[in-house]
Amino acid sequence: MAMNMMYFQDSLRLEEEHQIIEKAKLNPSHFAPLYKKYYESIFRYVNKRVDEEETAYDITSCVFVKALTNLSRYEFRGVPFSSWLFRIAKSELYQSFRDQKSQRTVKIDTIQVAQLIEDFIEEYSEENKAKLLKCLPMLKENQLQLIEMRFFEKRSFKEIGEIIGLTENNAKVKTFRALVKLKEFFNKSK
Amino acid sequence: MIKIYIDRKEVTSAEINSRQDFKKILASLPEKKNWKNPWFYGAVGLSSVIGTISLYFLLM
Repeated sequence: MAMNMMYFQDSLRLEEEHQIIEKAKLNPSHFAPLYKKYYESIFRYVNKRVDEEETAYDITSCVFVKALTNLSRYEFRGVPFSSWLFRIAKSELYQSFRDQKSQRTVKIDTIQVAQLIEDFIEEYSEENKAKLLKCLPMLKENQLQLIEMRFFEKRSFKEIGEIIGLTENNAKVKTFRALVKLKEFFNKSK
Repeated sequence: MIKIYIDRKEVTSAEINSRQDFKKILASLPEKKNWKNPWFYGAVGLSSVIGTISLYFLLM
């Protein structure tokens, strides 16, 4: 499975990020390189989950404002800063759903659907595609986000765990259970 | 209700990055409140002590 390469960084790059963060804690204008580096990936994460593009831009801005406002509380733990940003993005998204400012959306392409169907050891067909699209909304929100992150966004279990606050092993187990549940809905669906 | 979109046109990187506006982010940051900073209390405390001592010697 091709992985999200933005997450995998050598220790030198992580240390560079750490230095930028420490400087930005004293003066927020030093945060610019991290804003530039992660703007696109945060926008894409948000945009895949909301229906309106403009809303996705607004939420992305809120993520960075919140990150900078709370930067003094950030502690470097040897993992990419992006995990913390995605966590903030996740919480901003759910706030926006609660406030009914945006609607929960899943944006996928046919290739991703085909790969997921193959993971069920089923043959890809228009009928199976329609079945899967019908089943995805039946999942609970926490199961859906695991499926999205693992199968549509190709994130590692370690990164998934960091974003949703689980250990790597726990993320693996819960993703497997979510997949089993989806398969159950898929097999029951006509 | 969850909406599902399939094969929707992706936004290009150029389009996304053209919307970057770091100055706007900096301008949106809430003003720092000095009273939340421990140094603020240190400075206020020290000036009060100096003020009290000065006043004491002035009135002696």
